[in-house]
Amino acid sequence: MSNKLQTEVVEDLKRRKKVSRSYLRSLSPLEKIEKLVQLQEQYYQILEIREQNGGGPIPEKWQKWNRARFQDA
Amino acid sequence: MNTASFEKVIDVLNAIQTANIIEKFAIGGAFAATLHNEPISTIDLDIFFFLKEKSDSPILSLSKIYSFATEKGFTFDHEFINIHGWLVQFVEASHNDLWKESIENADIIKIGNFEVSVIGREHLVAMWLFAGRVKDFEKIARFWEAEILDETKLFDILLRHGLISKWNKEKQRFIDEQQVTD
Repeated sequence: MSNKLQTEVVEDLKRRKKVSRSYLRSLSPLEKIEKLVQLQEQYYQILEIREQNGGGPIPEKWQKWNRARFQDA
Repeated sequence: MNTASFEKVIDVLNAIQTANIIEKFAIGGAFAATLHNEPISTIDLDIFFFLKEKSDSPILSLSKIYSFATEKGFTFDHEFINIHGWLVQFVEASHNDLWKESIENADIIKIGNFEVSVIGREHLVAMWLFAGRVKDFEKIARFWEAEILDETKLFDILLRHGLISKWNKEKQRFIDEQQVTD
């Protein structure tokens, strides 16, 4: 990849990141919490896949999080 | 666990306050960062609080909250209380001047049908700087990058709590110097 193209790709990624973060900031508190829950679920799935494929075990704190969400009092 | 269950958590926190167990409380940590800025992955909800009845023992200070939670049928997992599927960690704040001030000056944010105290942005940054972990510096970087901080207010807090030299020492971790000079 040429230096010019590489710079363009990086700039495009920075622009996208800015747009994405700006969108997330514009959400209402309840919508932000909804996104947070999605983020937690996605992160836990990644940790599960990592473990299933011989990677490190799911960290204890994330195991606690997973137990908690199925024990709603 | 969802936004509806989160509103129930706020209801429980208000009930703990109404039961005269805690005097004041405010949401802190990554959850507060989510509300002020953008969602940040975190497993728990940090609640900074003052007890109604003052105690010098950190264990005694939490016992009434734990008793209340037990009565309501909430379960525990080490340092966390599971309230409607959310892991809640209670942090008694009266022994730390910065934490105390952060609760006293917390913002009020409307979440659904509830109004809740959330530690303000500049106080959060000071608390993260004080804690000084990598994940704390990441949160400061996000706030700085988002340009959502009142710098006069921030530096006043840092000055009063003896954190200016730490800020100057660590700032290259969370401030893009190019951004400063732009």
